[in-house]
Amino acid sequence: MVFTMLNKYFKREKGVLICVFLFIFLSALLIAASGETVVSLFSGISKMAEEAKTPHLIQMHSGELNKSEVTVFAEKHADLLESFQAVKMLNVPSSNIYWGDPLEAQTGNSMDNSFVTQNEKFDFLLDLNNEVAKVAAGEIGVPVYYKETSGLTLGDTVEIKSGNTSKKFMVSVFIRDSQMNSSFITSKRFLINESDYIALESIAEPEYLIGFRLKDPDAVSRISDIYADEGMPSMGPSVDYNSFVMLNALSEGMIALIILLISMLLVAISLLCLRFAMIAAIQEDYEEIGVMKAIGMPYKNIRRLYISKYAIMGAAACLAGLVFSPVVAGILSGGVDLYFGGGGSGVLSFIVALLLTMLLFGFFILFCMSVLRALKKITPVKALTGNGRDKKKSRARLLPLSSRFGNMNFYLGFRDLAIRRKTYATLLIVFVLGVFIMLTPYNLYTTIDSPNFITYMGIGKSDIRLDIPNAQNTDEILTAVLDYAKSDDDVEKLQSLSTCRYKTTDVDGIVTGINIESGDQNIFPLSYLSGKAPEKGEIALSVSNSDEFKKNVGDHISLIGEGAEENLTVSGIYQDITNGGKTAKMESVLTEGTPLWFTINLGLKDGVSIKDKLAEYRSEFLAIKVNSPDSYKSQNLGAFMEAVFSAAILGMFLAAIVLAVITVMFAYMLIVSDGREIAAMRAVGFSLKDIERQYLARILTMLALGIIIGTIASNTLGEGLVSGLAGMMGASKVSFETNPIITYLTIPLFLFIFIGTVCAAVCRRSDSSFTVNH
Amino acid sequence: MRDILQTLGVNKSYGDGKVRQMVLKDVSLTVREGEFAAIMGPSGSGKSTLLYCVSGMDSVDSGRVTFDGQEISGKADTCLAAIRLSDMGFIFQNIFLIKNLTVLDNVMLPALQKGGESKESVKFRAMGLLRKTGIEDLAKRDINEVSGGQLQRAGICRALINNPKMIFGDEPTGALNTIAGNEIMDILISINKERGGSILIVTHDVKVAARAERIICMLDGKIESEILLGKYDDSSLNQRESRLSEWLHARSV
Repeated sequence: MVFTMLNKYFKREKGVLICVFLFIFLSALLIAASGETVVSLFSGISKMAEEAKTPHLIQMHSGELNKSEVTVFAEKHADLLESFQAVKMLNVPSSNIYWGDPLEAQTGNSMDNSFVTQNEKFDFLLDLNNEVAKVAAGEIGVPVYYKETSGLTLGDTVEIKSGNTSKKFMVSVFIRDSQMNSSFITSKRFLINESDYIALESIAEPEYLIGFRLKDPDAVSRISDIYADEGMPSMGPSVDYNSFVMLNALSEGMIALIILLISMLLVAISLLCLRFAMIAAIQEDYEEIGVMKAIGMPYKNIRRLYISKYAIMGAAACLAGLVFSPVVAGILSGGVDLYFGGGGSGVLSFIVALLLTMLLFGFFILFCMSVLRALKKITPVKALTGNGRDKKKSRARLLPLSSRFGNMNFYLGFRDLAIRRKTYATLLIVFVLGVFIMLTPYNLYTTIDSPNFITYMGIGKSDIRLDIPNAQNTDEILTAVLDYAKSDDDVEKLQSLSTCRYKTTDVDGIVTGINIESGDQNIFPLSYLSGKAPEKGEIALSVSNSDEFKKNVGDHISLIGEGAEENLTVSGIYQDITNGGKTAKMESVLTEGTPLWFTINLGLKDGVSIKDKLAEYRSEFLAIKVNSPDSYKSQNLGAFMEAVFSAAILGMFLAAIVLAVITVMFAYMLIVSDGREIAAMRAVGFSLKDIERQYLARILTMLALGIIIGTIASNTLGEGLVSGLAGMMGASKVSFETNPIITYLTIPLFLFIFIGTVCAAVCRRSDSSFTVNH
Repeated sequence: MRDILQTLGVNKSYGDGKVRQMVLKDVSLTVREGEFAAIMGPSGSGKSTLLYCVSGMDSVDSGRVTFDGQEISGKADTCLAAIRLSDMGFIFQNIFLIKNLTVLDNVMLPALQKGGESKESVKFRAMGLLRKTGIEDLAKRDINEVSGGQLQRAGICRALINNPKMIFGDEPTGALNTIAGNEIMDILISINKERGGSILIVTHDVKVAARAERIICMLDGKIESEILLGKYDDSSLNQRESRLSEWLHARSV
């Protein structure tokens, strides 16, 4: 008997059950897929780190290095250190590197490109099979970053040219670099043979990479503090193992996180629909439930009857989602496979996906049970005498027809919204969530894409940015660039900044290093989260540094330069996602120490072509990086932006489908439950068009409200959510930069036309049910 | 008196594909201006289908339906809705009032939809009809708060609000007890008398049909025969009922 009844239910609610099935399936699919992607990402990273023997701590150092000094340090701390190495990297300016067909100088490339040989002890550069890469003379291993961004393929030619010296290489392998894989890291390492390395030494600037493997990886901060305390070579940033993992995970993991958020919203939508469908089914079965209770069927049995159909459907949907999730995970983790070689963790991925799906199923059943509590309220007497429903306090007196405004169909539609607001609230919430899914990832994309995004990269809005690394002839180059720019009539504003490393003490009183950029910070002002640009005796801190040192505006920070010590007041806090988010700015250098690098920013006069000026400076100064802040941004964040764009498109597509399906389901159920009223209206002279207009008025009013609330939610909650995620990278307060034409015009217009068409189609298909004699 | 409604060779079937059931077979019928006609017949004989086909609520497979001089079979829905709105009134067994409107708003709805009249004037006329049907006090009530008989009175007011040329009734007293049913019919006849409109109702009830001038008997989708009872007055009701009962008995209805 139970089977017969279930079969009947399935047939009756086929449409609704299919919709709910689809949503649960989609939710399970995305949740399981993003879970699999996250597992594959982290196991990929850890497997790569294991194969590459990633250093637990590295210290970059430009200029001369006394290797024996570091060796003594390592021997002294042999209790902490497993091994160490100091490797000389050969830095070659991008303008001296050529590839493509025909060969083209990579002048616009803002990465620090260096050439190295394979390491002997650890920090191996891996090939795409995650094995230690080997190259013969004349061959080169190219970072996978360039395989993806420049489309380099095996067999292509890479040429290094400087003056009369030139050296051609054939790309023989792509390199996974456990340290510098991420597009967020602005240094990239090329692998060359020992003999080629010797040949290149004469035309490149050396930079040292001092790496340590520790006996206890948790002792990183301890060894890092000791290193700084003992004044070891540190002309460059230092990065630890956790930062490598985080930076590697961020670029690929962010997308999985966005997909996970989208799927959570989908779950919310599915459950809302389910609730709506269940309540409608209970209403329809009101008398039947009364009879079941009257003949003595206990509540639990009746509930089982209902829950079994939802359980069967939910289990089938979750199972289908789990089965198909590897396909979606495969698409999501394309980057993971390329950059980390996949996790090879099929079992773990499956277990995580299975657990997530089971969690979703459990949640789904609990939700069903809570909705089915409504069954308890039905008593046989109420149900069989018809006193249980339609006797609720009516709102018929609300908005009488005698106070009608506007068109009758619009008024009746609008009035119905006010009277049955609980029913329409479900639709409204779905519209709000849908619009939120549509807008938030897209707003994130337009924000990153906006020229103002550089504010979050700790740089002001200039037209041209010149990066001069510390090298043997830095002073000459710097003077030449400054002289050239000062005499350039097209240049309106010029800002010269130098970055030096200082020591300070952290909250635990331990001496630690801090990189500070010095120069007039008012020429290209930053937006400060709080406070203002630093004047003399002041310092501005990035959000991450402010958090690390627990310093806010007005607090004091003590800096130790080369021999001098000064107490500075924190003047402002700004957002910066570059250099691991840890930067600081001052008005002038503290001592005559050696800067790590120089940056010159130029502001051009109105009407001067930035493109032409970039070309001019690039040809004039071959050894330095000349970029516009925009291209600087796109090279650092290009891959991430593309991924966010894909997530935004996916969000829009999914939301549009979901909204259409929900509209169909909602309009259909509404029409079925309003059958008597529709028939009455038809009889008194309302045409099918009139009735269609009434439904359109209701659903489109809800859509308009949904768009307004959804847009506000995206601009507030969505912005907060993005700020939370970006906070991990050093930008704790992201303000959305929307594209008003897309966000406020195209998307709402599209939704109006799309949902309006869908709703009208449902009304037309239901025409046959609009008569009293059926 | 001219004909207000005319049907000629109307056929109607339901179902799809191979399984089609003919419900109306070559039905021709005429109702004159001011006439009160009733259709009787056993269940499934096609009475209600005929009523909905001739009132333009349902389409016909073939044949012609002419209302007030214009052919309505085959007309577009918008055009038929406009005719129903201004020239036809409907009363149903299940009443079909709109549950989220008050009794007064239900009555006013067709007039407001028709337009061309101020809200105040519509309200005034609606209140007048409610007064005539004895439910003026219930005007502001929700339809869940009144009895079946009172609801049907409201249904009559709604059918009359636009001064239709013809009222169609599908078992208008079917859901009411005998006393309430008689009251409803008396109200309908008395108001209609003042206006001079036509009435076509479908009924099983001899007491209701006995008030009509002409009774049409349907069997198996066809008009089997009809009987003329003449103008109705209260004193002749018993006699008309007996005559009608005999006539129906002879036809096994």
